[in-house]
Amino acid sequence: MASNQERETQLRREILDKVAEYAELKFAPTAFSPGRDLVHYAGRVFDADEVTAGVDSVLDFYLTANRFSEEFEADFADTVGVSDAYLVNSGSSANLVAVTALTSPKLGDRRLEPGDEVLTVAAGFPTTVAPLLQNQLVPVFIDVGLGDYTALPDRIEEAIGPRTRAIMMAHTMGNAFDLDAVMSAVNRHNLWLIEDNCDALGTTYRGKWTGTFGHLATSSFYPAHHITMGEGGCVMTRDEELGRIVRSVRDWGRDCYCAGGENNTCGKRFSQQFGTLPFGFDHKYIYSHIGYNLKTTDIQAAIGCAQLRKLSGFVDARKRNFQRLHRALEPYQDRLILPHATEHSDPSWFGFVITVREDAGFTRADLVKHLEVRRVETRALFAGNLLRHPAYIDIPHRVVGDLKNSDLITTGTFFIGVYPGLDESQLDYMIESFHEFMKRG
Amino acid sequence: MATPRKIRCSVDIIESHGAHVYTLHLTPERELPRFEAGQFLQMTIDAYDPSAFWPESRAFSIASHPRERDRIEIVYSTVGTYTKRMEEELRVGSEVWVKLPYGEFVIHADRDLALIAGGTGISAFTSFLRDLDPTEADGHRVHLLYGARVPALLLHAEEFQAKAALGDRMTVDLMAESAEGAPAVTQGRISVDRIWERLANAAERVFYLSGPPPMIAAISQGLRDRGCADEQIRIDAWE
Repeated sequence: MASNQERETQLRREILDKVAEYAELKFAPTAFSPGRDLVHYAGRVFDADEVTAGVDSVLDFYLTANRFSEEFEADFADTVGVSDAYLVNSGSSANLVAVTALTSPKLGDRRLEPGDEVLTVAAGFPTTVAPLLQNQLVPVFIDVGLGDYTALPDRIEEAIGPRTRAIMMAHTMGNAFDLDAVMSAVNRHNLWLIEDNCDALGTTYRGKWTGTFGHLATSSFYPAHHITMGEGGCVMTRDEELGRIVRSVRDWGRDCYCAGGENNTCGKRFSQQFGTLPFGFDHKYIYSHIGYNLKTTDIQAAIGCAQLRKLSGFVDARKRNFQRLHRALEPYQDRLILPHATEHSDPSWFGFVITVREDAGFTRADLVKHLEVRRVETRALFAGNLLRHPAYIDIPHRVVGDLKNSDLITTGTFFIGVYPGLDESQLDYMIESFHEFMKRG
Repeated sequence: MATPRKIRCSVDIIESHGAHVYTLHLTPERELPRFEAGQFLQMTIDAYDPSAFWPESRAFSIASHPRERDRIEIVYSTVGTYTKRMEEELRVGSEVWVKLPYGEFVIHADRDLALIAGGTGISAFTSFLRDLDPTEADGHRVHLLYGARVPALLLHAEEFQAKAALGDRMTVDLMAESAEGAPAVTQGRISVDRIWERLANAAERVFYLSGPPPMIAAISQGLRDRGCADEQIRIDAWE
């Protein structure tokens, strides 16, 4: 007679085997039908591993962060090369937590104060900039280059003023910004650096992973990104003090670092003095920050663990697909600005960014319409010039130099996919679609 | 703090020092996460299912060196029901679970230091002291004041004394409530007066305190009475 424990183990195995069988059937690859099937710009790339991992976690029914979250945070930190990784519920939340962490009173004179300036770029995703405004900081915008879409390095020094205290920029579309120039400014002016690494998991700069240069860095695990857990993100650091602050900001602002469902990990739960509270007030409910609850579930983390094991292959596929598209479109460089890596960068590309030249004889709208009609999915380079959006028109900010390229991106730039879900036939079809458009003259 | 991990371990050696004081040598089933000298772990001797809640556990300073990611050493004395269970139930080959690392009691030798240890509180300093180069000419000085009930419970005392003899940087002062037959050990209890007697620049040092709560309370109060600022007093206190 099997014990309950043995029966439970056996049932779990049977369930997971069935789930794997189901997933292999349900999500089996199908042949691409050109012109009929959409060629996505990005998407989940998964197999039975992720589905069974998710169900495995559901069978635990712990729900909130537990063994899979712990495994993901530790393995992700090791993979990237940082000491601390903190899961949050999105890349945008990661940016919010990272910026808010730098306002912590625990940082003393180094904390960011309302009105302090943070150097960034205007052409990108809004939630690189939104957390600055949410923390009453002032973004200072500089322009980006066409083709690499990262901050113009020669504008960085010029942009730093007496109140500039930090730099927060994205490695846009996987392409590392000029970290030599940025780190030089960071060190010379004693600035904080937050790398928004949401588009760039696996990118290296001088052989070192992006996300390891800044005081803090962020990742996104939205389905369009390099790995996914549906909704998810991560804040990374090599600074243990910042790590503790990040955890606190993520976890309601509490001082205690016990995981959910755990008590008195520090051994001092009822024997500390904080603020004007009575001595020994329960440490689990002591708040050292104005925080949020931005945690993930263990189900998301379980899926993330399965994805993380595939990251290396995903990065290789992105690079391969990028090269394939680049080679095929090189003949059209008189009309299209093709993407290129910044010096010393080996990008784990997020997408293949194209800017239609002003004298191309056609517009971005013409080309995008052609591709979309042929069911090749396109996307704008996120917000383009963010300052042209309704929510951002009246924000407090400073612009250094002009934002000419950011405006050109707003009118002339788009991207197509390089994600690992694209197969040879889809890539052939994408290339053929460009050939057809260009032949029209 | 590196992301804490829960790791299954086997008990390899149980070293009895007498008077219900033990050193446990554990082998983890996988590499330990990075940790720093002075940090602690939580250990449970109960069965643990990683898909469920963490069972009752206790905190122990990690006495092994941070560079040793394939073994763990902890020290305990039987002072309550849980450590009594440890004494009764743990055998060589027993399975235990640990989660680590935790804690902010990390020793920074950026000023002259005085490490004050009572009993098994020495385990919070062990990895730091083992890593210390006593011959480093321009290194900050480190004084260890270490007390126990009897000389036999001054764990690693000979190792620390031998290290101190190699250079001028490190000094060791051993005390026991009963020091009979141990000429290198002074009879008595550790006290702030004793520190001031032995150290010319005592008031300028940073003090790290690890040991029983009454000792911590008495020494920290004594240091404040001598004019030491709160920033000079670092405490590894447990409930």
